[in-house]
Amino acid sequence: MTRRRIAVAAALVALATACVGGASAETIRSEDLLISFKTKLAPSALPRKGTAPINVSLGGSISTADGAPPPQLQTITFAISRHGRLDYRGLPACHYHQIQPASTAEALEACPHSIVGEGTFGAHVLLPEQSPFPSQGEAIAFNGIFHGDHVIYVQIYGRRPLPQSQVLVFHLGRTTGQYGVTMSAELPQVAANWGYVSGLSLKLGRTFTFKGKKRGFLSAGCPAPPGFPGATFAMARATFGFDDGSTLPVSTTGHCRPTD
Amino acid sequence: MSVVKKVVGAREETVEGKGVCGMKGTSVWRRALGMVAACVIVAAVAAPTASANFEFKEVGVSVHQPTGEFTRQAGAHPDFTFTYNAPTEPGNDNIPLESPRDIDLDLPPGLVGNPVPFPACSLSEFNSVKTGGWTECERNTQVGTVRFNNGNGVVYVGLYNLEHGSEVPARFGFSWQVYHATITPRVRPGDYGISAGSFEIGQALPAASEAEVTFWGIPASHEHDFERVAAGAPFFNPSGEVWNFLPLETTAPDVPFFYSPTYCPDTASTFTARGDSWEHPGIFDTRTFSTDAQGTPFAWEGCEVLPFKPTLIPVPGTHRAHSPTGLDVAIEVPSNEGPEGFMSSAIKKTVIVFPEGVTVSPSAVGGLEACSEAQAGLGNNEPPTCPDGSKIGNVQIKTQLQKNPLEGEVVLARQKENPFGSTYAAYLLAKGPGFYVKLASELNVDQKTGQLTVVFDNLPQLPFETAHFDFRGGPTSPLVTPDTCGNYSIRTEMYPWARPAEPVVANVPMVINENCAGGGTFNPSLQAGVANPVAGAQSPLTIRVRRQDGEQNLSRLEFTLPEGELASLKGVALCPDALAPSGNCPVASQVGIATTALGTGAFPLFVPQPGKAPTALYLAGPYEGAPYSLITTVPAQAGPFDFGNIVVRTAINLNPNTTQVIARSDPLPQILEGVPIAYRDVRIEVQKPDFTVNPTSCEQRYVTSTISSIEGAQAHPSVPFKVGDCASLNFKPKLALKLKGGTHRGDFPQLTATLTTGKKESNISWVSTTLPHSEFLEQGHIGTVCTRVQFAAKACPAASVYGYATAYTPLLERPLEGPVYLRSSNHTLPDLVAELNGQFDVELAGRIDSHNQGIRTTFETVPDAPVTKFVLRFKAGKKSLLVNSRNLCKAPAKATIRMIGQNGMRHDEQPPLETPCGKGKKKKPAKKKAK
Repeated sequence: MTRRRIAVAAALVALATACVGGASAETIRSEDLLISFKTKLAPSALPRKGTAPINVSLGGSISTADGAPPPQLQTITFAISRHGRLDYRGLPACHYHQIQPASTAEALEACPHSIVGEGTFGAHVLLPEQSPFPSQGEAIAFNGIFHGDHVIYVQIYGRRPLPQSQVLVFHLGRTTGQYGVTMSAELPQVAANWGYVSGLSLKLGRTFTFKGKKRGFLSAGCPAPPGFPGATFAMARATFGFDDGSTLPVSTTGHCRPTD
Repeated sequence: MSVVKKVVGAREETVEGKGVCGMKGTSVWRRALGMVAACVIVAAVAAPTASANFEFKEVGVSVHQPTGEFTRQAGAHPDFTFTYNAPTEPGNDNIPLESPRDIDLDLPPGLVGNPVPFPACSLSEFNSVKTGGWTECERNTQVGTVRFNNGNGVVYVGLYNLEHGSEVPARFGFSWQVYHATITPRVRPGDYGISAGSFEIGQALPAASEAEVTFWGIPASHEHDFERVAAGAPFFNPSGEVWNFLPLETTAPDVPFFYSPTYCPDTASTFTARGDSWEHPGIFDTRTFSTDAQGTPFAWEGCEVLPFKPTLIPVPGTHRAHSPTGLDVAIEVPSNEGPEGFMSSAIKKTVIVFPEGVTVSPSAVGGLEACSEAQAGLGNNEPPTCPDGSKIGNVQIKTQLQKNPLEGEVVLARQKENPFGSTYAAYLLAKGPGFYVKLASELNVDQKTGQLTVVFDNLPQLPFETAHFDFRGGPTSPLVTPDTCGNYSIRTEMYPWARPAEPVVANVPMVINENCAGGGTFNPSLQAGVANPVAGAQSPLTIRVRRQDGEQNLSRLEFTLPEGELASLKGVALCPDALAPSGNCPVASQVGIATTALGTGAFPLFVPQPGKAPTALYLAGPYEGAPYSLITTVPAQAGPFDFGNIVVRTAINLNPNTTQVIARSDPLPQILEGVPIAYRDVRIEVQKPDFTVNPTSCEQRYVTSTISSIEGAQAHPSVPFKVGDCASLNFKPKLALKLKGGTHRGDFPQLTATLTTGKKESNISWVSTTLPHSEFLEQGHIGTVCTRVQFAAKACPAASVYGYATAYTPLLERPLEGPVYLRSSNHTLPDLVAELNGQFDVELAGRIDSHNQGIRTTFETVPDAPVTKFVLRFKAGKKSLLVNSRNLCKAPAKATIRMIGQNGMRHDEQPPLETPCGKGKKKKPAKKKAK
């Protein structure tokens, strides 16, 4: 490859990276079911070699084309690019009973050092003969221990329509291929069987110091080949499992540019 | 009475020997020889029997032409001859064995004489004894002849129309020398046939052994010119062929005197002759015969040629719609006054069919009395003794048989106790000279429509020219006109005796073209109120519905009382179901009375009437899906009528949300015994002491109603309802919240809310309870909610039950209690609903939301009903809707209570949540010190 060709290719990658930035979104449709999945990586400038702390935003929303209630979401699994790394060493772990039931403030007060992210949770409740009403709440992600395993607790607290709280337990795992870390949770029933999840967004990421070294709960490097100004990679994949037995995966791509 | 059969002529007849003639001898002819006759004649021969009593040897009548030929033509003017002879002493044919005392003859109905057109001989002329003994009566007063045996031989004399007083309908007489005999007709009660006789015949002179009395059909007929007697002239004609040697004309009017019946029955008419003697007074020889001496039956014929063109014109007294009305009824029967032709048939039956809408007026009944059969004296000639209050009209009958019209009245007959056994009947009671016309009329009323049909049947076979009935008018008239204007017609039917199956039918127009406005509208008014309008007081309640004359009639009443106007059912007996339909409920179940005004016009009939049975309002049990009912018993007694009880049952329900009393009546009876019930005023008074309770709110409220008309219209009048003095009521209810079960974070406690109130407190209007932040909704425990459809059907799923509530009220025997649901609502969240069941079903619905991060339940419409205690207990544990968000024992948690009384007072408090914190720890027993 001549220097001129390399320069042209690098310029195209840089242009593509500049256009997309660190955010990506995909929407898929399965019959009338619409699932949108958004991801965002920050910062997008990462070391070509080694890793740096990052924040990853994962957001999924579920709706239908005809406005009918979607099937109930039972499981959700996020798989994050194999270039990313999850490190909870040194982070204090929070326990379930400390944050459930609790308001956001109470949860923060109970496990202030275990926070690994934040977000929102949305659901719709459709009771018989009752107008649908939204149920929304703030979400705080905690590093936690559940039955001896490291998990991520997503504590959700909503004031309206009534004060209530929930904790989603995301079990951590690994997978092969383009993705590495996985986070899987079973969603509780919302208002018995009458509610359905409409959206969940999480922004995960935290930096902390452990053994005198600055660490990131999530960290990643940019897999750009030498000479390339950036890289496009499989950012994340969300798999939504519904009560009808169907599962729908949605994946996004991410872009980064090397810092060196 | 002995009955002996004798052979009369060729036929077997019944002969009665009876001791009473049955009539009073008012004709005194004590000087006359002996015998008498009646009206018309022909002979039937009776075989004499050996007897010590008087008996006829021969007796009979003949109806014949002047020439002597018999005639049976109905409605004609034949001559009539009565003949008798008695057994004589042996060897002396002129002297009877027994001296006749009374000779009497019953004519069949319809065979009558009419003396009115003819001059009458004064009694002074009749009694004057001229030389030779002849009477001075003028020739034109002669209406027949008499042949009799005066003991010395046969004498021929004239029969004269005599003056008479008002005590008898006519009088006839004949005389010769000292013999003066009168014949007095009378009208028999019952069949109104004519009887005529000579009574207490003088016994001072030799008795007559035989007599023959002839009335002329047309006295002025030249056929009788040779039978006339010149005044004061001697008159003998022993041959019997010709009485005068020269014909004598008369100035008497050339009109008929004698009428044959206008009825042609299949059976022959009968005559009955009676006679007794001075030797054996009161022991009558009675002979009944239906043929003449030749055996020709008295079977009238030729009815088909008799004219019959009467008119019957009923004229209501008003042209106004929906108004009481009198009624004039005029009947005219054209008569044949001339000697030619036949007389008009007598009327056998009249029928008046009023159009639908013309009905009996209840207003007429007030103060009315009724006449019994005995008082009317049907079947006798005694003066009626009906009470004055039974009179409903006047009657005047003009007959050609009398100079003066018969005057009388129409009286109401007693219900059921009348000849028809009917509800409605009337008696026509008219006085004539020496007799009464007493007729019963049936008033048929269609039980469904109230249409009236007046029937007079079996009218006397007496001719009359006009009959005029005048039924009273004014507000208490017997009839009411239709509600709407229009052209109506009254159907009249008149049936002749001559041809009973051929009525003359007419439709008389009846125009109602006044007072048309308002007809058919429906705009009833409502009044309601309590006697003591003080908040929370016990006070009688009155509800009144009035309807204007002419509007559509009331059909159904439904009232909704204002919030808080309630009744205490505690201690009130219920009318047993078995008695409820009859309305004869025990007094212990009575809670009030009812008053109604019925009828049309300015003076409707108010029930109950003075002196009549009272009305009553009884409390009864479940009815038409409602837990209670009211039974309104109105004795339908007015005037002389008693139609039993009108019983109207009204379902009593509560609006489960507001506890407003909803009373919905059954359809009101629209017609009773054929009388349409036009409701003008319906007043219900719930007056049992300490029964009804006023609201504790002084806001303006309303008694609302849905009043239905018989034609399906609905009106919704409402009336303001307001009580006062609310400030005198306290408002300090207490609400305690208690948590049982776990106190730690994540525990699911059982919440119990207990509300208590004091005496003389306002009821609660609005209450809001906000739980402290320590209690979150445990949404995982939401099983399901009850839909409103399920709730209405009382089919909420078990998983929608989250608690249980109990309400204690002083108004009911038992508390109301039931499950607490989450029920669908129009709010964001389902409502919390307590379904309180018991003597009534009540729903208490609370809106759920969050306030200051606490779960808030707000009961925005608490019924204005006294509740001394209310307990709401939620489920615990895995069925609890609450979860502790923190340890309750670490710090006290307070709820926020806001309450507003029905009287507007506020009461706020922040009671602590009662928890078992510290209560469950048992103190360790102190170790006993070692000795």
